[in-house]
Amino acid sequence: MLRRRRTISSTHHSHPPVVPANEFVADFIAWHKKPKPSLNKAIIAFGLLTFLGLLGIVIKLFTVGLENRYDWGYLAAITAFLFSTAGCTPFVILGLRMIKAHWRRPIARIAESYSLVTVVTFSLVLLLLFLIPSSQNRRTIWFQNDTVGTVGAIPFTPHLYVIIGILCMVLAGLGLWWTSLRPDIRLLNNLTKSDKPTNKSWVGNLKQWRVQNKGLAFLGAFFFMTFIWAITLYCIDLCMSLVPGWRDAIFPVYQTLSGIQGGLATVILSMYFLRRFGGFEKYIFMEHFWAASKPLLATCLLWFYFWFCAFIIFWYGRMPIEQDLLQLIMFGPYNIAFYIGFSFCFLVPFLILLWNVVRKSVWGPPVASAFIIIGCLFDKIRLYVSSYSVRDDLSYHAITEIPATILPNITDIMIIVGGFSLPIFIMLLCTKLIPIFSIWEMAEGLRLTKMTTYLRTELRVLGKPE
Amino acid sequence: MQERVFLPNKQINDDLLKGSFETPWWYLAWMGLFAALTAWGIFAFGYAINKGLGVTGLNRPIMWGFFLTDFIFWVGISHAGVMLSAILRLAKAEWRRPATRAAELLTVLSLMVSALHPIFHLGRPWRFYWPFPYDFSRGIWPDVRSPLVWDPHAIFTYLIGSTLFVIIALIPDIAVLRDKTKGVAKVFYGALAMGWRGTPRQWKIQIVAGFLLSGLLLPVFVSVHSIVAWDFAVNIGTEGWHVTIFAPYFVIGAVHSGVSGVVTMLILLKWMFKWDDYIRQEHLESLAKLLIVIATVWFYFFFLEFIFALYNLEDQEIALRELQAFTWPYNLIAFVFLFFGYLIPVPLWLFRRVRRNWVAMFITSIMVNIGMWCERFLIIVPGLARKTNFNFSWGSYTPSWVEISIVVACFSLIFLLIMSFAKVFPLIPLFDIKEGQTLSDDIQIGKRTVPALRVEE
Repeated sequence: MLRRRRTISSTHHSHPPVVPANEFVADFIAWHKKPKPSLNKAIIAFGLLTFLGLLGIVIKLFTVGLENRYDWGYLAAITAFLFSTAGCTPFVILGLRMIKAHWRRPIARIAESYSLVTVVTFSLVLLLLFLIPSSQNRRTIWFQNDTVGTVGAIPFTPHLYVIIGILCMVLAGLGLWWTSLRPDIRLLNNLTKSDKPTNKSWVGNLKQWRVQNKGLAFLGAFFFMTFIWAITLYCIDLCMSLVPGWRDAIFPVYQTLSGIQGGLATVILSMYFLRRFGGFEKYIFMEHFWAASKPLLATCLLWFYFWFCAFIIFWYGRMPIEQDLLQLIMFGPYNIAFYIGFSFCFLVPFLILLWNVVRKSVWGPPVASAFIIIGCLFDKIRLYVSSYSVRDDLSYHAITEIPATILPNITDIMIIVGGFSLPIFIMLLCTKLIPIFSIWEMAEGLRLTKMTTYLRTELRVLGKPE
Repeated sequence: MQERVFLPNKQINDDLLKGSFETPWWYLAWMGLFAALTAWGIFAFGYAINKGLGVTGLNRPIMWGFFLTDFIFWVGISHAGVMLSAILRLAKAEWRRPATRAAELLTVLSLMVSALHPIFHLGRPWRFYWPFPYDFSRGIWPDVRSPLVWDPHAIFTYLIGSTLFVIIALIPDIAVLRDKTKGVAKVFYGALAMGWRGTPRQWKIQIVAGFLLSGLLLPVFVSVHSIVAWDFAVNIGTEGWHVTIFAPYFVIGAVHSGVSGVVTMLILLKWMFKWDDYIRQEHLESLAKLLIVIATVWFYFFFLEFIFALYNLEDQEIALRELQAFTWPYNLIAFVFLFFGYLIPVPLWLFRRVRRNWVAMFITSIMVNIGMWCERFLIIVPGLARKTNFNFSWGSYTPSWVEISIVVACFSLIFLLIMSFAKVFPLIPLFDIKEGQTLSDDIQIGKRTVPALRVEE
């Protein structure tokens, strides 16, 4: 009697046959060389939308100037949103690289390429810094006067620190992206017989690979630290310290976690679009979405946990200063934004991802990710627009009145649309210009994978080098 | 560098069950010492019951001292089990295998010991059941708005969950013991093995139960120490306590001390039972790397907690931090806390040579726990010592011999219980080690053989 061989991968449709590394490289180069008219159209469309955002900023500058902080709340919110989504994707991939997760490989380049977005984010922060008062007569984490001549004064506090912190993050992200990209650029040039004089120094000898490995580890650690530091500075100096009486030690952690959640969601959505429109079903399959959905679910729960840790302390304490704060950032003028943010960052994705059958699908995690990205935007709006709307003197110990809701005007809507389009535009541009798959990492992964049979079950074997 | 060792199943059984079948002299000596110290602690507690809490160093306004510091410390240690066992099991980290049982056991035992501390702290310990709604007919309900009522519920839920977790992972190993023993022992192990025969269905249920419990324990694990943190943080009357970051700060601190506790325990097990083939340098190195990440996250949280205490530049907060950092004896405790908890061990762990050195890891992991104990003391006592609007006076605190005896006895009790457990059950899961060997494979790439892993979907 013939026994049917039980194949775990085939029953779950999770893992197509392992493609030889050389076949993948040839396949990908052919795809990369192929003309893609729809991609060009998309680049133009999203480029125009991004330009619209830029136009919105310029119009705002000329119409309202930099006199009043409350006119710029939406720009601060979209900047924070970019930090928390595209800006955080390299952070996500670093974590996965650190724990040697194999499923990171198809998404490594996409995630690292989002570092380019941080260059624009940095420019937006520079603009916002003109709206931030100096450290005189107000609370900051720098505890010093910036008046020249006084003891311990450092001029341009906290502006200088914010610029240094975020610039370090941008440079580390770009360094990481370029270090990872070098072998692939050279390979592409070789295989396409391009005459471009780029990256001739890379020959791929053992020493260069070792240096590249060390470089990635070093830059990764540096990015890791600078990213957390940059988000901490941004959310304290450009948000919390603008509201008298708001003292919330967990806020930077909450913002960092929100960034990791948004970054992961961005990566999953990018992965879905690459599979759906790039035709990479052979390399991005259910297993990648399933693996990514687990940390996504964890971040949803952690989002709630960090939010609740702040909420319970303010709510339980019953001090007027804290009750006013809860009104300002949660239940008052921005309650709708808060409810949407809460539902989309925690409740809806949690209820979606709770089910293994949904997690174990190609569509489930991207749907949850889409909710998270929208939720993230609303969450930033309720935090940043509300804090920019406070008109009290910053030397006060509490807010004297809760300001009314500031609804977005046409320039704000242009800025939001532009901010939303910017990462998509940059990603599409990268898809056209550089290998959107990390070829060396993919090839390494394929070489480290084989199928084997144990008793009657076919299993996948994953190499785990040092 | 992975140092894989492939051993026949029989040898694994013999090696890991050595503790159950042999009783060396040092075992009896240590048991005697720990039993004596525990007995001394019981005597001290009896003395405190007889004379009242006045025999301790607690006084107005410092009503929380050594007992509650130790309570938080042991709740913290209990976080090792879920961190190592549940999270690493869900993440399918291979190197977790020899450490899981020790971690789970440490969780259960430290929770049991931590639950004793509020009872030591009660003036009338025989009324320990008052937080529970024990008498519906009289209409007496505990005040559910109080975090002091949330605490016991969270701890007992965690204790029940983690005990189940230990038992489920133990069943296959108990069955091995049943098959290797005779007489009364066979009956004992046979009853505990609950009819385990190792059929595919039983394995499937055991694995599914392990995963489900891992998932269910995670929120409980986070909630337990969060609730302990809220005992302090929801209080607006004590300076330095009303902080939003306290809950995650306590949780990550607990994981830091818990994982360090597991490292200490694993090294001791390796030395005591000569389990060199099972607890290897690669495991130590992976744990050290994990500790670097955990410790650094914890330090970031500490930094935020400290910075935001000073953020409002209020005189009282600044004075409290000055008391903690610059006034004797708190300055010494603060020094030990910072240097032992982070500044000495973490830079050392960055060096591979240290991560793979048994003695260095043993010392640094103990240092972390000394530092973390001091951290808890610094959170509790200086905040209470200062005169505030609600307590009208300053205070100072010196622990009495009763408190010191009880705290030392609790440490002894933990060791006593671990050693007793090691006499009855294996402290390294047999089935996990065998499964790890079964799932190991190699991949040949060019001239190199890369260690690989068979992946279950």
